[in-house]
Amino acid sequence: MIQRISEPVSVILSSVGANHHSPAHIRPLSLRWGHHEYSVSQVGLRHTYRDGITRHHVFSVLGGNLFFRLNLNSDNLSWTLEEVSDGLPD
Amino acid sequence: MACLIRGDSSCDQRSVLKKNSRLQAEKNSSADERTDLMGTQTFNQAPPRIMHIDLNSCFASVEQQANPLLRDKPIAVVHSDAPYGCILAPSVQAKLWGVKTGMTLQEGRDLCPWLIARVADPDKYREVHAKLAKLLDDYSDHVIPKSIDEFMMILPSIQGSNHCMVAHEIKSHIKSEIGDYLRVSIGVSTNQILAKLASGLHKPDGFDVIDSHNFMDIYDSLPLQELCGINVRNEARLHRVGIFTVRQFYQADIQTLHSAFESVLGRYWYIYLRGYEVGADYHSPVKSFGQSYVLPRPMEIQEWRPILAKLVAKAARRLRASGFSASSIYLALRFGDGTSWQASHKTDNFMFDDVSLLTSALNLYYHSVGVDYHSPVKPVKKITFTCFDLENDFGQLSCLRDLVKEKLLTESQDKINDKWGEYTLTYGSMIGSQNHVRDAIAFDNYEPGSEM
Repeated sequence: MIQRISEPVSVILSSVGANHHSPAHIRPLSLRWGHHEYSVSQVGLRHTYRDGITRHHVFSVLGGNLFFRLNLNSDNLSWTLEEVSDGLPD
Repeated sequence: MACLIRGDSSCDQRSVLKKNSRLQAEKNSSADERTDLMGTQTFNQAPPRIMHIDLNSCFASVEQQANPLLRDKPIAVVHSDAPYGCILAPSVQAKLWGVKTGMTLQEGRDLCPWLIARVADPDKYREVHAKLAKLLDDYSDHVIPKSIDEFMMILPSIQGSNHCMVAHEIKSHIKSEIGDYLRVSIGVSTNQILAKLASGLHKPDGFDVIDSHNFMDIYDSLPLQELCGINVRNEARLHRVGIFTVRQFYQADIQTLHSAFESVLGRYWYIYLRGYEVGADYHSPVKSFGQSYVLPRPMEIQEWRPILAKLVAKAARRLRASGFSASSIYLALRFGDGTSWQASHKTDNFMFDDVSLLTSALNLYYHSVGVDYHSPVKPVKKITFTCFDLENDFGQLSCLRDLVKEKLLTESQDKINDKWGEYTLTYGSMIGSQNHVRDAIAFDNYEPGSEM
């Protein structure tokens, strides 16, 4: 079942390897949604899109038994939880 | 020849192939193999160098890549998750249940009650397409995207290079650099048609070569409709001249094929089946820009006119982004009762802005159908708009229109929408179309996302 959400969330992110030649490799480590903290065990895919000049980075991640779609607005560095799913049919 | 891949390649083929690709670009191009073919009776003896790469069940696989909880499950990427929503791509697992592209979601669920629907997310697919293009670009200077999930590339011929090893390496890099759940089928042959055919022989995750040594064995194993471009109608044409198998197709002389197709297609197929290429250019030039939309229910003109305006605006934006203007338009409507209407019109002027294209489309409709804005006509179910007869920029300057001023105005509008988001600044004619014509799956002019 998929639940579409649009809530601000707190995400701890790791950023490794930034230098003059290559950008940083970034990866969400955990997220806090409601009163729960979920440790990110797998990043399935990361993709980007533009909304005007604002670039959004979307991380599709697994935390516990749930799938989360996290959106990072690169303009204001705010995180939004867009979707939660348990991978079962609706 | 199905190639069994064993073990990892000992060295990375990318840098070597890329370097040699440049050096051999023209010299070793297949172009020299394409001419003077009419007397050729046998299969092309040249080493196969055309590689076709097909991302298996592309949209569904990308969704399964993104969400590991969906892996190995029957899923369908749909245009809308309503019961009438069209299935755009079933996963490999859904295909085993008989779910096919083009079915409604309800039809899919009738076959597979566990089918999970995911609404299409074009940004994801474009990103994977861009990453795959970048990866393949390391292997050849001649990488040509054929669609969002298919690439063709010309491999440089290097002594000692092994296509099987290259294919294995590409598959391995896709898994490590793009996504571990993504699978590609790869075909190699001496022309595009046969390379594509080879890539489809062992889906998913296959690799096959069609060359002068094995082509007849493969032809004997396939029905006619497995050939890309031979549909039911073309198969019937071949049946009329006594061709029922691919072997008979290959052995037929050029006159028989010409009488079957009654066009230049006969000559083309004579060349294709012998492993040669038709034409020297692998790139398909852009000839038109179009948009189409199936309305959620049949609508009267007052309702669908803003939607047409949005379709025109989207097509016009792509037209301008590619640096073209168009002198012809085509408009087609399918009505709620199953009938349809279509017309095209060529103007003396080259059009590039939303207003002139929309005005032209509406005039075409009003004049052809003989109605005005308030006349009752049949409700419309599907709208298709296309502009064609393209010219770079806006063609010849007109003494009746200030084209420079119009172009500056349009460019300013595009810049505002680039900066603040699509449809920030629109014409009033689009009011009422907000919930219609979402982003469609296209892959032209896509720039991969920048890193942080």
